[in-house]
Amino acid sequence: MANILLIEDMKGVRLALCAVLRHGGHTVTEADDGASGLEILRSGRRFDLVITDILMPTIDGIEVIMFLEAQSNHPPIIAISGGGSQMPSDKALMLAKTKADAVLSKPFDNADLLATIDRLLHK
Amino acid sequence: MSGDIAIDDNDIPVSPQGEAERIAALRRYRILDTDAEPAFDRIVKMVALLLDVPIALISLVDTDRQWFKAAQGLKVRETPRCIAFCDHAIRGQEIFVVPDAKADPRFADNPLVTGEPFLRFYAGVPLVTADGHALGTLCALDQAPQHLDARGETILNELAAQAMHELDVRAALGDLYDQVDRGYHAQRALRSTNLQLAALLNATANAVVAADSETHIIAWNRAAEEMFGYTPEDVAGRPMAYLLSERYRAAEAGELSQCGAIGDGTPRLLHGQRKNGQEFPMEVFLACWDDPLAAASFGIIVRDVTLRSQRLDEISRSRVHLAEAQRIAALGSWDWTVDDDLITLSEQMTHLLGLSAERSVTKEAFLDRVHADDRIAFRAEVARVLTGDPSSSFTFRVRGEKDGLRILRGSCRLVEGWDGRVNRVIGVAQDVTDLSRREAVEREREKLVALGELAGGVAHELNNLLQPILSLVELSLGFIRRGSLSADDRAEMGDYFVCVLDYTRQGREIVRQILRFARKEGAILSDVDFVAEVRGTLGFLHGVLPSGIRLVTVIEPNIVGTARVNSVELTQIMTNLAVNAAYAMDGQGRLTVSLFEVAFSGAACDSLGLQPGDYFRLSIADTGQGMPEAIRSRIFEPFFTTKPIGEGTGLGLSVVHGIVHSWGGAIEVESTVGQGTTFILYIPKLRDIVSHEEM
Repeated sequence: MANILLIEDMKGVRLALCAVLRHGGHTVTEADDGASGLEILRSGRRFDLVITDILMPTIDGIEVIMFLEAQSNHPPIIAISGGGSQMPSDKALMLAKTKADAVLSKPFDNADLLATIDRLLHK
Repeated sequence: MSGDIAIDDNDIPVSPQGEAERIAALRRYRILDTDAEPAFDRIVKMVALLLDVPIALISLVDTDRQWFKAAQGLKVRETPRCIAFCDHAIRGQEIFVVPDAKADPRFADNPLVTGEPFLRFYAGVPLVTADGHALGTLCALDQAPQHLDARGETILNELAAQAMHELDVRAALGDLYDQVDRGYHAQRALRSTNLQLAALLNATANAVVAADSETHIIAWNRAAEEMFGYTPEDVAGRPMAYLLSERYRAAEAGELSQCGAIGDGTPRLLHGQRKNGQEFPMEVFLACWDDPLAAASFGIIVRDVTLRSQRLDEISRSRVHLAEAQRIAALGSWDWTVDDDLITLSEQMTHLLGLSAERSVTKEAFLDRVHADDRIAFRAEVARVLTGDPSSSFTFRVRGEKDGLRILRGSCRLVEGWDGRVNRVIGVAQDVTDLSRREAVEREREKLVALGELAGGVAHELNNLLQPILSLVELSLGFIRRGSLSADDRAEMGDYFVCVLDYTRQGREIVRQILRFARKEGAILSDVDFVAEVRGTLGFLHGVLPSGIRLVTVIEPNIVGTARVNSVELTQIMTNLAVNAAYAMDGQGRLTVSLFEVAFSGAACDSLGLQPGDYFRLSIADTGQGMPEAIRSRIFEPFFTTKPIGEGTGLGLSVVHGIVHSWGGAIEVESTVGQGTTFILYIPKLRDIVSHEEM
């Protein structure tokens, strides 16, 4: 099973996704905003997969993804989006901009999340 | 002869018939009231010299006066006959002498003796015609008594004969004398006329040019010299067409030689040219006449109308400009002189009133075009201006030509007429029908945009609540489906459901807010925990702002308090300001939302228009491009926008302004170009009386 970094500033979402991932058999490291997520990544710790929220104060998910993109051999990335006013175009823009390997729009099913992880790990 | 005898001789009364004949004879000589003549003047001068007397006269005795053809030593030209010494002298044919008038009873009381010129001595020889009529005398007078000796008598007699001879010669020459006289006067009159003409010709700024019948220039005045720049020698003998512009000479030369009616006074507008080649518009009056000497028979008067042409050009250009500007702006103007019943309309005004071509209508006809419901208000506005209000502005409707009612926004002003009386009302009216409709559409669109922004924020909030609910319920369902639940499973599920319950309730609150907004209950104010409301709204902002904007929140520690506001409107305001800020920063920068408490009194209140008291100071600062003063001062105006066409409605800040004022608050803006803009809202803080009493 995988070693996953979860970056999410909304406490409720973070707690719930953490529970889902653990019950799915994964090991989870939590970061409560973009800044601490980047700090963990910069420390050199290796992860099999990174899940990051997009809209976060100060350092957002896009910065995190851009940091990972710059690394060679970076782990697959799942971007999770809370959705804003311009949802449809926002999503397309985000895909192009972030080059995340997958994008999930909240609220998504547990099964979708786990299946996406599975797919990305065995690609 | 002795004086005594002479008196007796000359005191014979004259018969009426003899006198009539004598007067007729005098008339025949046509001498009375003629000018002085050297021949006669010379005679009286000789009498005075030879007899050594101060006064000598050639006196002609008329019906009731004596008139002096020549007078030495006397300024008057005539005296009444009744006091004349000569009247006595002419009754005889011989010399008449009065050695001392004072000693003579006939003359002692004579006014000429008792007063000026105080005569004492008189000696007169009658001037007797060939047929025996004494016309008058040649006489010598003195203010002292004198004795006339024989030599003196002879001199006076000889000179009297000479005077009579001159009179006869003069009478014989007769008509010739008159002709010479008339010629002399005519010459003087001509000279006077010439002087007048010359003075006038040199005084006028109009060029006056005289030419012969072939239109060759003969003479011209000083103004012509200045106007055309030629000396008289330059142009003498040249055709008048020489003064025309070369470009137009061929076409216009004919105009200068056609003189139909003499002095018809109709000017021709021709093109002149100065010596230096400069062309100018000239107004030419033609005159022609029959000259007896055939010297000059043709003349022109030329007025340089350069300035007038320029003015006319300017006026006609401004007219076109004004009409075009009015057409583009759909703005008409009208002008009413109060004493007059007629209102003058501009072309566009005629159009706006739905009239076809009238450029001037009566007051009633004007009001007739105004919608019946607006007439009273319209009259009232005009009356207000007439009674002293400097200007007035109002909106009224008119019946359009074909497309129903048009909405006009008008204003009018009382102005001074050309005669200095303040009796004119000038007004303008602009068609704002389309603008009014567009305003309504824009307002609606703005509402939708605000709703969209709000919905985006709401979706973000709800999704972040739904995610844990979905995940945790799914997990719990998995536990239950597995069958046996351990104590740990139960505890975990308990935690899940506490969270789910919490998130569900939060969701319910959000939905309630949306419903309130949807039901347009926005305007209802309620006492809310202001700090909590601001914090709550900050959550929305995360969802609305582009990712490049950092949101920094600075809230005064331990700040609490209630404000009477509308939460939905507060969200709307903060969202609007944040979106504007993001635009100003072009998606990259820092947005700082600060909340402090301030107390206002005195001058601080006045400048913001606030009541003294405690306020929440909520500021939203960006690090964007900032605004110059010209924009800063206008941003709260409806429809003012700096965004490109199609991107902004310009309503946002005016709505914000309106809402803040409806809460009894104020909004101000500080901005530095290149550094950023800060909007500061002051919201009245309610005094928490209940808790105060409890303490």
